[in-house]
Amino acid sequence: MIKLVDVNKSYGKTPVLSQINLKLEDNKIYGLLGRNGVGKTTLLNMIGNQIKASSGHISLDDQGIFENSQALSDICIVKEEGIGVEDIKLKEIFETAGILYKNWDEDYKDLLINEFNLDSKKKFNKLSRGNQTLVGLIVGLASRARYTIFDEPSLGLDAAHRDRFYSLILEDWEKNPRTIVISTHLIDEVTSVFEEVIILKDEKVFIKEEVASLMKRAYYLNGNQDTIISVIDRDKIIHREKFGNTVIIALFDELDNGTKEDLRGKNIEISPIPLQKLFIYLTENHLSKEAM
Amino acid sequence: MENTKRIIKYQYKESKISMSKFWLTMFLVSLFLYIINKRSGPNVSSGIIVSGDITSISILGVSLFALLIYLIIFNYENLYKNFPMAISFSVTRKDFALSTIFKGLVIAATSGLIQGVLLKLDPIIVRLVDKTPMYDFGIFNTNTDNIIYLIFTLFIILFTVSSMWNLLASLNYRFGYKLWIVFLGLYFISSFIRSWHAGIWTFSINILTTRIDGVQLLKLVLITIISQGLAYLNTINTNIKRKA
Repeated sequence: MIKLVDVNKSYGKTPVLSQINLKLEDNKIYGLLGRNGVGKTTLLNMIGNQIKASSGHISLDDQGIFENSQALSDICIVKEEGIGVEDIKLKEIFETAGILYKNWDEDYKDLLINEFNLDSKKKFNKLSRGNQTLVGLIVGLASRARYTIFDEPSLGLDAAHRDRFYSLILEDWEKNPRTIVISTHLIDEVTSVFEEVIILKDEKVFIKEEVASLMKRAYYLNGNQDTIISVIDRDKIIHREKFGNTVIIALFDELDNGTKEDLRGKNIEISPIPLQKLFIYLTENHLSKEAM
Repeated sequence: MENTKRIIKYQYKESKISMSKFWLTMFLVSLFLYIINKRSGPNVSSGIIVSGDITSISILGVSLFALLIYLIIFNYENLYKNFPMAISFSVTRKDFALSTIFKGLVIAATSGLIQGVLLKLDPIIVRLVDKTPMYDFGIFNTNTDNIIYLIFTLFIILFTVSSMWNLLASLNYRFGYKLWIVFLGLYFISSFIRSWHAGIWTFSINILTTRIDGVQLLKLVLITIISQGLAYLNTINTNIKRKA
């Protein structure tokens, strides 16, 4: 298990992440969500030993991660910005990854190269943005690292490639279970892949919860405003849209069956909130963590 | 330990590729110089030329000077290409810094060995083009010194020079253009103190021209340890840049 305890990160005097406490369990697929600039990449780079935390402790199986060869041999981070070198042939990138990752699967790498129709003889900087992203995805998947981290893995990818990537993640994860962390902005596309989501807000971990449990607490209520307000807790409203006498309220609260029946009896339509919408409401809303 | 072995394996592979390219180029350059000397007649010579009562030349010794320049490229490539790749692929900075020392040793030992043998063969090649071979290289005499001494001297000097370039490359990677500003500033300040300028110049020339005895060996070992130590400390505190 990867554990972050009271982790802080600042750039100069600007704090980016404060008091991060987090556990990443084995063999789970996590979605890391947050608005631009909230510190997702910084958090992933700290876990992947790319940068050092300003304070706090990050460990894998109770061993500190930073500059720890043993711990790092179980982690693969695929960064949005690439590997820091661009004038290099794909063949060389894959060969290097093959030497440096202990569980590297050469056959799987070849299969993925064919799957995505990449030419290993080409140089990385001659590829389209989408194909550059694919190179990172192949490294991440073929690394078979116990903890595989993808930072914005969908950048530049067309819909077909994104869909194939998500399928591959699930297929491979079934055969070779491991912990996968995906940071993305295209939330709805990946909702079915995530087992748990971590939402960062205001420099902190705002929510860390299983997707299924989170979705059970998020509803759209569509109908007469007064009727809805009379049944629900106002403090749990995270979004409201009014159309004449009708209102659509996004509610972040558990509703028991009795309440649901009551609302339906009063002509209130109840529907689930897609994860992306929920994320938007939660990250822009005044709703405090205490209220949850 | 497994992970340290993996990065050393990677660096070893990189060294082999880099060395193969260099020595293949030098082979072609030497062949070219041989042909030029053969065709140009007794009055025109190409290679390292020492003029005096008798003009002596070295053809295969050219690669010795090329090696000193190659070591700059080799160390810069190590920092600007291998370092970001290794760190991106979950290698620790400490392991990378250690593997760099190993890589420097491999390059210095292999190049010392090849260059030593070449310098022993050089007089034969030069005589084949009907010219007078050069024996005295300052750091050794290829006629009077045995091959072991040549190889040892070359190894020590190449590793020392490589260590200094490694320090420069690691500082340059971390601090970028700011490093050159500092160097320019130091150069400007030192220009007011004439002995500094002369001292730095003499010091640099001495490394490449003084025959290795006990004192010189101690000096070179000290320079190597200090350079590698500072490069190590600098590398373990360096983050990778976005692109290189």
